[in-house]
Amino acid sequence: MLTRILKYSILIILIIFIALKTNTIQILLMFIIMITAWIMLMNNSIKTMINVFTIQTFMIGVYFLVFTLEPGLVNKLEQGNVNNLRLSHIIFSFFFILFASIIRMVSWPKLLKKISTIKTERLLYGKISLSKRLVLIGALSIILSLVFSKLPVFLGDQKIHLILGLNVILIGIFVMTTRNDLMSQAIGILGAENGLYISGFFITSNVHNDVNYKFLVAVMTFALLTFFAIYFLLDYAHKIDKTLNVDSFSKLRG
Amino acid sequence: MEYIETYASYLIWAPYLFAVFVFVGLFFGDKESTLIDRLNIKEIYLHLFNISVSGFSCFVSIIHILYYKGDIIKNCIFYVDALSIWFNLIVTSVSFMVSMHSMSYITFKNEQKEDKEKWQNIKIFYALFNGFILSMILVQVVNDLIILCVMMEITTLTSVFLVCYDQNAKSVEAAWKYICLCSLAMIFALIGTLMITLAFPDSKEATLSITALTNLKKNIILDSKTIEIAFYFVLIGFVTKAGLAPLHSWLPDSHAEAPSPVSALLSGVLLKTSFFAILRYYQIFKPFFDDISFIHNMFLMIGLLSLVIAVPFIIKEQENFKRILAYHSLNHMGIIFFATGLGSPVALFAALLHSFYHALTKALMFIAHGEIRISASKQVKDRKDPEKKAPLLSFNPLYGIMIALGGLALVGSPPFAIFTTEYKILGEAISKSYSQGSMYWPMIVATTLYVISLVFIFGGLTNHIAHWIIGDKIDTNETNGDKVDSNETKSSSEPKMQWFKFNSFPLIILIFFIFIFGFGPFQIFLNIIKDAITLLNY
Repeated sequence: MLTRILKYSILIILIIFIALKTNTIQILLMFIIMITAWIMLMNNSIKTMINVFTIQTFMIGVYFLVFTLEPGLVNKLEQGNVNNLRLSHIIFSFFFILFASIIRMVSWPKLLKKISTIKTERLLYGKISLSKRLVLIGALSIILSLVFSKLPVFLGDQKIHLILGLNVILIGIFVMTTRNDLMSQAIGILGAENGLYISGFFITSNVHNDVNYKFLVAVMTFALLTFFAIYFLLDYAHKIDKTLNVDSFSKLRG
Repeated sequence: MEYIETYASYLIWAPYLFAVFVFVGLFFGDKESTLIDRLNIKEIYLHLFNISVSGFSCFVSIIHILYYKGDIIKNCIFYVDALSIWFNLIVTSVSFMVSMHSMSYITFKNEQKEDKEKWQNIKIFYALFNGFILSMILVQVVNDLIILCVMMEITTLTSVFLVCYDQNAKSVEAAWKYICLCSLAMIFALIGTLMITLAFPDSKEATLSITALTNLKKNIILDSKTIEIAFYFVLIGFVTKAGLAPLHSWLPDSHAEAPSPVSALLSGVLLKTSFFAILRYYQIFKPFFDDISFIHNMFLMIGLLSLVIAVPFIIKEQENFKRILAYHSLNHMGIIFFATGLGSPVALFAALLHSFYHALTKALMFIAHGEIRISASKQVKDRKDPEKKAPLLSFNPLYGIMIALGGLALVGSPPFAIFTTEYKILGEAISKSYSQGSMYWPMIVATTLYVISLVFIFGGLTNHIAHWIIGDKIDTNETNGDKVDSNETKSSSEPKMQWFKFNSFPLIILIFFIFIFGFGPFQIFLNIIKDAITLLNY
């Protein structure tokens, strides 16, 4: 545990240091978040999915922090030139990392331990083949990006972040609908929620503090309550069917 | 009298908050000795406390309507207008009736061997139950769109545990489907809500407070294109939550597999709360649209689709009666949306009244179904042949009559309340078909589909209910493990006919009002609804 904290701390300090010097780290982090979303969609192991989801959540936290810590922030803080808006985003990042990320990251191993009979390495049955999944999600991502980039209403910076967020939501929905396993469906929902955080954070980045704080409340509610609901439902489902296969829970026809 | 209005708007939800704290508080302590054990509080007092909380809230809601003078109560946290007051009445009245039924339902479940373990802990059930009602009321009174979304998400998360309270395979599956769909729906709704801030010409002035959005300065004009996109997102979210087609698949499963009191709340008030949320967004968005007809058309199409989709499922032979009622909720939400989409004040008036009437009627049906299961399950033990199916009237004539009357009310026969609104909506649809002196063909097709769907649904549901009451459709082993232990069967006596019990009280109240409203709504309701329509600028 101590080594893990040490490793992550060094990583965060390094990223913050680079972030304060340059903007390229934002692009790098965006790239990493997208990659993690795609890996979640493509891989066939629950354990990998959970690990990738954990990394994605952590990276989103770091991404928020980097966005907030704009280059030259230290000087501005010293001179007292940092406005309330930026400060509220710093608070937001802090709370997001503290509540959403950490609670999720800490809880997953516990959940896996609780549901110990699941073979975490076993292959998942995909309803749709990998190639079809790739083509479909690729096409949808391109359409989504094109549609949103054509819209004149969004500001330059916000547009790209919003597209990223919506893509992550889309991939989350795909992870949920293309898997025959309750565990990966749960990761799908939570992945889509990560997309909500990205979109929401950047939509509200230039608005009044009041909206920011209320969005913070929404994020914490969504993150905590959805996670707990999924946690308990998986537990109930596991008591009924040890494999957590969707086929065991397909008796109702909607 | 202004202070009555102000205090009433707080006293509607405050008792539920208090109840949540009490029930959660009573649960504290170690597993062997919770606070409730140490205080030695009898179970009956908990039931009575729960009934008094909802009764008080319902009473305050009625007082609020009686003293309504057309003021909008607004501060930094709350925004209570005619629309909120109307939907508060729907939530509190149905919740009061359902609370009374919960007492008998929980007592019955505690008597069942296989359910005793799950249902013994009624503090958790009541904490979730009151939390669910509280969050629905707060959706209607909060003054911020983000908080509205948060409250809506809390309705999902409290009700999801109520849906799977029995913890059997079907209820867990229903709950899973419910949380998957509704969580995603709320993600869309929240993004749509946040997008409103992008529509402001100066982002520093952006706000999501309902008071501010409904009273924007004249020089602030929101970008209509952004508002349009935001509205699509919000619509996807709340249409899913309202259980409308094509995103309705969670609705039949959750309604059918949840315990009866929860089904009554889901069908009676949760769907209406989502409808309220859509109206609230409509109220905010409307001034910024260049052309409002596309929203009305969208409402119309969603409503019609829901109506048509429900038909085959209601006609079809269904094993579970609650499932038929669930599809009927889809049908009625379709009617409400169809009326809203007609875009006229009269149709919206009918839609708002229909929301109330449907809530009362559906609560009656689910409560009656729950009581019948209790009654039948107890009596089957006394039968010579417990496995044999029997007509409902042989178990309890009163419940049989209630189901018959409720069924007739639900399909829209006179002289019951729903008939008046369905008739009004039909009249308005016909008048829209002949607008401006010529026939408007798409509207004629829509009206024809509306009529055909209602006729089929009338036939389908009446057939099911007739079989249930005088035929041999009732199956006491229907759902959720209420199976009768054959070893306990007493072969000596025939069942005793039961007429009136305390359990029948909510049913009698509900059928009384459903009948009374068939002759027209109260004058005080008319004032509130007229103000709500004015607020929505129809």
